[in-house]
Amino acid sequence: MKQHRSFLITGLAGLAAVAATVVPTTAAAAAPAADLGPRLERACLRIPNIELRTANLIDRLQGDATVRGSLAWLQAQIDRANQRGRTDLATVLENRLAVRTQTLEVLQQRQSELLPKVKAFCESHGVAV
Amino acid sequence: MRRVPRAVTVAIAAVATVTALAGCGGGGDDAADTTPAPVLSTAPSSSAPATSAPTTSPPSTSAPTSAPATSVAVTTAPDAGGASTTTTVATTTTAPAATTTTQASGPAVTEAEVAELEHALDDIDQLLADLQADLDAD
Repeated sequence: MKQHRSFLITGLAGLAAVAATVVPTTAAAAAPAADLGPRLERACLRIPNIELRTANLIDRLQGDATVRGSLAWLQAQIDRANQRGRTDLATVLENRLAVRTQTLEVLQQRQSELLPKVKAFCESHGVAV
Repeated sequence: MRRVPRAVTVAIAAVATVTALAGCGGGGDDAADTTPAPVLSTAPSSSAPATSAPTTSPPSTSAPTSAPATSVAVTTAPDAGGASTTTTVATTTTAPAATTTTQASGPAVTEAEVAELEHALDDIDQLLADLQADLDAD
């Protein structure tokens, strides 16, 4: 009788396990679908500010030697440090200039390729940017 | 000795129900045993993750053993309803639709697309923030 009961329990446990694994997957699959629209809209609404900040920072990096933080300004700082014999500072600034130069390239690439692409994606899905 | 057949019957019934839930066919006929496998192995592979979802309804249905199930299942998959075997296939094909949503005035967007967009924007946002902090430190 015990053996019979254990078989029955095993069978029911198997069914319960199947049901337990099935129900959550349907619930989990349905949940993200509901918020895709708001998520898409929220993401798309971030684009204008990102575009503006990108343009402003590119302008700043490309500014002349009077614009603090620009590549030209950094080069002027390097020249001045070298003139004063402050080689350690000059090295730090040169490294900073190298990173900043690459950052400018990355920003320009994002501005010319990525941002138009994501804008087009949003607009093609009915979200005005 | 009399207990063993009852226990085995219960076990077989449970296994048969589970296999019916999984849509593997429970089979008596040879034709039903050989043919259902390709249908269910191809349908989930072509469709998206939530293929296990349709197995919720079948507890009340128990007919994957019917012989014409395979050919009918493939051809009648688009039209929902009908025999219990076709409903299994029909729910399998409709399950992926739950992972997508349709915008009011645009095509459907997927979870992966939204995640990719969010990731791209996060990435450039972080780049801008880092640069801004770097410039402020000058």
